[in-house]
Amino acid sequence: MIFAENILVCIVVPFLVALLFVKGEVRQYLVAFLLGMGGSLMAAYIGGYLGTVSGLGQNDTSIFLSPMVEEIMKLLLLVFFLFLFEPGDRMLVMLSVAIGTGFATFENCCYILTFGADSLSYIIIRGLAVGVMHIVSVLSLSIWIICIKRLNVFSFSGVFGGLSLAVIFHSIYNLLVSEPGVSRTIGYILPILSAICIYPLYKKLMVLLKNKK
Amino acid sequence: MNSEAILDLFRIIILVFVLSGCIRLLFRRKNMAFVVFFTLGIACILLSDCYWLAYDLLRPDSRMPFAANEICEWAFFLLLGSAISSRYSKEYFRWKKEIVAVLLFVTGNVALWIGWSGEWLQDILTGVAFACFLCALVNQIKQEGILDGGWGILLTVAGFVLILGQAGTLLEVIPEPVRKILDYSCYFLMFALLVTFMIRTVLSFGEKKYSRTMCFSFLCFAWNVVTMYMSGDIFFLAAMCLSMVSFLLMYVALKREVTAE
Repeated sequence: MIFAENILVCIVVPFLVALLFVKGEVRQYLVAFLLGMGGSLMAAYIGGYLGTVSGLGQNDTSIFLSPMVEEIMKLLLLVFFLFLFEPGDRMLVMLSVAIGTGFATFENCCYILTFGADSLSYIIIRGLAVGVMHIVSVLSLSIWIICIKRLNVFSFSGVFGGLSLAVIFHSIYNLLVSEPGVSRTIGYILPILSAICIYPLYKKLMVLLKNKK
Repeated sequence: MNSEAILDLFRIIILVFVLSGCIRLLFRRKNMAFVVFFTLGIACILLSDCYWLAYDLLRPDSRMPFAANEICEWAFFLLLGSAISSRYSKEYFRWKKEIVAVLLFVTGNVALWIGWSGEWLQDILTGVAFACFLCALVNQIKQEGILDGGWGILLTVAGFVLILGQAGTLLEVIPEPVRKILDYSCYFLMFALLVTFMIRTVLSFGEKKYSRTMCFSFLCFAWNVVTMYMSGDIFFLAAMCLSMVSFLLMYVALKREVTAE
């Protein structure tokens, strides 16, 4: 058993001090990163609680419930920034990346402290898989929010649609890596492949929306 | 691999084709809101199918608990509803009778789903999302005037006969042979109407009014969903096969409208 709150405090304190010495976009980025880490801890609490209430085992909770809780938490953080600071489109993308990175960093820290870091190759795979997966899911969500804002169709169903895509992407990853063999390999490749696919799509979409405006 | 997984694989192939087509349509920048919502909806249902397939292959003998694919289905219905609403004015209150009929129909459906599966929360939320889609569709149908006169009455009667018939199959006071007859009659009604809507959609491709074709294709898909959710065993597989046709019909209708000069 690890004390996740203590780990969070230990990582967050230097960042909090650093916040005093940085300004503007860097400060916003740092805040988003820290909130991402806090969101990860909150998601772990809520996921654990729902797992106990629903009677699913620890493994099933992480496969079926955790993706929903984690993606909703990331969306809430994104919406928090969106409504409180009204960032521009470019900044919203930056903040989403920071939230995803913070989320992945804290999750990886807890994982390493729980299971050890003996195998460097596995740690690299995990970093490239889980780390990238959190970034891709929240990045795609932010791109989608920018799209529907620009098209003037920002609505509940629009946001819910984006959220559901992020949730299913995360769930597919969790399901695939839960079983050993080929499925696990596919699961590990999935996030980095998605990141490669999303990059040109993002570029094209931005050009398209810019022309429309 | 069981037959459901094989069909799921085929549906995934069809959905990949539809999704790639929709992405190409996005670059035409016509009816953007509609195409964007529809494309995301297709992406949702595609990933939902991928999830289902992965689950079926990795855990073939276990029943899936509440999972992300259900969230995707809700999102799909909401996105289709939003896609339709983005084209038409929201005059729900002008069509009170029709909207009440839709809500009653969906409530009946939800009651039956709960009766069959016992999953209260999921079935109610699926019903809410499906009702949003149907309300938007009925609004579109009324504004286009495509189901005036006999068609509207036929559909309403068929809907309620279907609900009563299916409810009858759940009642144990009714003798088993009668329940079986009821069950097969319901299947006949559902599939006959589904094929009728498909033929009507295909016939409307000859017309110049693209929005009418779109309306028919969405109606066909909505009825396909009702059929799928009310069917079991071989009938479910048949409805799933027909759902591939429904997706293609919706896509072709959308493409005709977007690419039309």
